[in-house]
Amino acid sequence: MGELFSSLLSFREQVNGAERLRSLLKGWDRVVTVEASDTGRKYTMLFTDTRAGEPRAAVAGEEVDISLKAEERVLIDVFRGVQNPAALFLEGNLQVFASDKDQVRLDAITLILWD
Amino acid sequence: MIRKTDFEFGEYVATAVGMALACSGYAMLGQLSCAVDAAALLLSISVAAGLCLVIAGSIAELSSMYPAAPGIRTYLRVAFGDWFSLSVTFALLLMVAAFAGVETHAFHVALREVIPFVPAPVSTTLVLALVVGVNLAGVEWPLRVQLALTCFVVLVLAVVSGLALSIPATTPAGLVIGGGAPFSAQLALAIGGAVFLFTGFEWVAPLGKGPAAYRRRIPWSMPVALVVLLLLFALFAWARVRHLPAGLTTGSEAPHVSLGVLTLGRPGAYLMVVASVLSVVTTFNAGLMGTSRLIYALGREKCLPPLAVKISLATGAPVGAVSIVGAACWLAAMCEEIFQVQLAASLACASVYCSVYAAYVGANARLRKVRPDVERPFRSRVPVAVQVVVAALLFAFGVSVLFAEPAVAALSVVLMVVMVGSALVASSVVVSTRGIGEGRAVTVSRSRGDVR
Repeated sequence: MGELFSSLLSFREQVNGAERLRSLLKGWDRVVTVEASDTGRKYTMLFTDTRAGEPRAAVAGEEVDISLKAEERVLIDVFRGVQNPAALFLEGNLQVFASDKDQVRLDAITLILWD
Repeated sequence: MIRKTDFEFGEYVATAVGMALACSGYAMLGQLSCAVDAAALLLSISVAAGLCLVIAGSIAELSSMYPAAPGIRTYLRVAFGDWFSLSVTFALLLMVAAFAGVETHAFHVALREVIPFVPAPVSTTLVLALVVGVNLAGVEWPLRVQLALTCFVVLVLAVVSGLALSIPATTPAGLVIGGGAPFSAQLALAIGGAVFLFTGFEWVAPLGKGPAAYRRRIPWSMPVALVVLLLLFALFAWARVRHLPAGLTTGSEAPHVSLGVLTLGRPGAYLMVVASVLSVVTTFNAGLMGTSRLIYALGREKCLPPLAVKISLATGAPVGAVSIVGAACWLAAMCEEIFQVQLAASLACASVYCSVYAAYVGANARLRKVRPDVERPFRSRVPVAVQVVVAALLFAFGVSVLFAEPAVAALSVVLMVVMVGSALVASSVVVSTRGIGEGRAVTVSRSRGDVR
């Protein structure tokens, strides 16, 4: 499935293993898509019951709550905790389409995991 | 058949309109109507709208290049570098705090028409506490509710202005406005203030729901919103100049309430106060969300102290950033109330915002040159040369607006210099210490043999 898929699996493991995130994710049920702008690979992850679901190939026309888009290398680095997603977002190298609140919560996940 | 995307476009337009409608806007119109004659006022509003259309085109192109990015920080960084971007961002944040004092004062002036015994610090604190409290609790107003409230305010203003136009003018004959200054001078003074009326429309740019929104819906929502605002402000200004008080400063800070009373009697006053409440709450709520998001982003960049990235695990709300913004706004409001400098502060805010707009337009012009290869799903029709001229004009109007009210010109200049100077110093400190910090991190990392 590729390195991006592996990084999403790794991210899922980290999220589900971090007890600090249980409060943050309580009541936060979201459909998140991750799209590589250069390779076209697109995956979906569900966040339900304070857990991250297994990533799967995105379905065309699916309604999503949050959408992330960047070059594949950038996405891999983000989901492995190598690069700061907030910095990438500010530089315009990572596009995040979500409400303000969801953007902050999504970033908070990475903050708790890796900062 | 009405499509879902049609609703989405309407949402963007209403959001852009709502962001610009503020009590301080009505106060600015009131001040301008007493400072320049009718022709200069109406022409300045039209010219300001035209300038804002150019600005909108630039921002639309920038946002299509960097969709959903935190606007000013990103656009200016890629165009002019980190230090300049940080300086303008800090100046904008300081302006937001100063603007809070202007807005709450304008709200208080309107409120005292119906509740005269409420002291300004109390109404200011209550309004800020309400908006900050809602945001700290992580409560999100349904978008449709916010938009409905915006439509209500637009309708009320339009109806009252229309009614005021339908009754005979009450402006005293022979009333001299503008001190006999040449028309061109009046125009130059008024345009900067008129641009201030429209400020906020561009905050819709980062709110696109997906990449497709940045091809047409977001870019076109801004000019449509500007046309709506132009018609509304022109109608309001025209009604206002037909009913100027004999003592020109009387009621200049709440002209919308004056028109409400004139057309509908006491119920009109209550109606316009309701419109004021909705204006200030929706503007503050949206402004607080956008500003705290910017502060959170700066905190993640380590340009601000760790408090800026503090979040509530229960609600996910950026409580640190919201608290910082709330506290700064309250402090600025109290200082302005104590020293009664709201007029000077509003002119300083207008000046800073004109410069911010100049930076946006300049950034787009520069990126056309230095990054021509970046994909631009939307492209402004305005030639680069014209964009450069508009940027220069905006900067010039930003300077001239400081002198729109001679009695407070010196203070306006001082406040503007304080805001800009503080921003320059802060950004210099951040950039220099961050550079030192990054150097240390690299040294430590190398000594540890870290791979990352």
